[in-house]
Amino acid sequence: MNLVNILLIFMVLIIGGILVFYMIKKNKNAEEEEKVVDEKSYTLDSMLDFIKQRLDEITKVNLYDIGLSEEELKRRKAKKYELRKALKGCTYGDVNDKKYIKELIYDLLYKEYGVNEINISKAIPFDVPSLLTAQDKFDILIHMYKKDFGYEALTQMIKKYNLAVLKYVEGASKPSYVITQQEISDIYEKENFTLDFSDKLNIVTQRIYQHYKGYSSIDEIRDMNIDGVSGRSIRSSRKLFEPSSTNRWRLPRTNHRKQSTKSM
Amino acid sequence: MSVITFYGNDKIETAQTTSMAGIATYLSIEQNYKILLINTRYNDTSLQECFWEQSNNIKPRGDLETGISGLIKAIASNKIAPEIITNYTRTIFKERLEILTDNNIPKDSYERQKEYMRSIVRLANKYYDLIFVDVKGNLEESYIQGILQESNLVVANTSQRIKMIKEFLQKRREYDILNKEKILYLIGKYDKYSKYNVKNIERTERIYDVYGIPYNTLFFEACNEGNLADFMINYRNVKQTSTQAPIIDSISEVAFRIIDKLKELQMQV
Repeated sequence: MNLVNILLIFMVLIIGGILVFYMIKKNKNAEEEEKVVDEKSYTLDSMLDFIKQRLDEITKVNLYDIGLSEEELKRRKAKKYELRKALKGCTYGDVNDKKYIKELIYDLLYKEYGVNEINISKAIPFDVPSLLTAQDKFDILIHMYKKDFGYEALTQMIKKYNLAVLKYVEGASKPSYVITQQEISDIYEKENFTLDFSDKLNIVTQRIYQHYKGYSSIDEIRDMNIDGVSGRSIRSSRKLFEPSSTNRWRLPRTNHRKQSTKSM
Repeated sequence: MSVITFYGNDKIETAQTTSMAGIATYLSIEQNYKILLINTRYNDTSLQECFWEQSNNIKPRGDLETGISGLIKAIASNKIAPEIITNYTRTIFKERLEILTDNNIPKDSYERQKEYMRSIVRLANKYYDLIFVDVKGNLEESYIQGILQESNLVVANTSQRIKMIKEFLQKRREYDILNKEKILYLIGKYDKYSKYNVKNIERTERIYDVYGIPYNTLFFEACNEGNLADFMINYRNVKQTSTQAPIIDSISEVAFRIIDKLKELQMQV
């Protein structure tokens, strides 16, 4: 009996040892996997995915499942409704809703996603100007000008650097009013802004917002105090974005649609 | 529809927050007022500790925040309907007593909060009957001046040291916002047997409306353990022989004097 007992104890110890070994190994692998994810997770795309996922969670969570008190449930429902309204308002170009959503994205990135002074450069290389694209530079310029001039930022930048002049662009036979990438780079160099972390995160937030709920690259421009933003489609028909709240594509001026345009 | 600011600049403890919490809780039980308490101090949990136990290691979240941070987001994006404030507060007594506070926030967020503090008070004033604001700091700070300008009544908290009282009176002469018409003096941890008791201070310094809230062990324990609401419910009708009677009496006296003073000030206008 004694021998059987000793054998059984040994077997239990061996099995226990093997289990502990595998558990430790598994944990190590998981940590390594997390590290790999961490290194890649501060790109704009992964941040955008995270924001999409979190906002989806927040708006779709069933509050009745959480077990809140009556009063707390009422509050959370009101806030959830407010958020859904703002998300809807963003798509129509409402400036206030945009502010609200951007604040939320800023907080989600800062408090939950863990964006900090070091890893933010993986999204936009703020510290290496040679790696910045023309859009990055323009976003930085418009953000810094907006801090000083608000919605007059674009006008002030155009005035200061005399950008509203006819000029010839390579490959074009006629002169045109255009702001080139080179001009943006020159302005960026001349201004030589020093960005703090809050500025950087605000620029990243704007970039994420404009790809998620905004109007892509013209999102900030269309908020400015300007007459409008026009874009040329493939069919080369000119359509217009108004900076006001409607923001619909202007209907083509064909006879059968004239009446419907008037009625609007 | 009135803002009552509890202001203090003493470096030593004056029990300012607990006095304010006690008075507001008493009024919410005894009177039919809708009251909001606002904490303006940086990561200070003393007001929250009066009403609920604090949990440690709260991971900051960025989603639908409550408290001042969440409210500021709404105000910054022009969502300024007065009713929205209630979505960001914490209720102590339904439709009676609510708290607007924040903790565990970084310094830069607090600096931003300061800019909005006056707007918050102004917005809250449209929805609640009484707003109690807990303010501590230098009078030169613009956010403190903003809050004091919005206030209908300033409750100046001080310790029982005559030096501190005189310093405050000196400040009152320097700053116009501390209008002597709308000031009420409150001495924290008051000892009525001291030479500097209310009557002597009133007589020697020629000031009126000086009150004191004495130290009470059970009251201060309740304020530390989040049981202030229970304490006020249990002892509000306490017998005069009880050891809790002096503090309940003085809280009641100050609370009703605040209401009377507000009425007097409204009559003057």
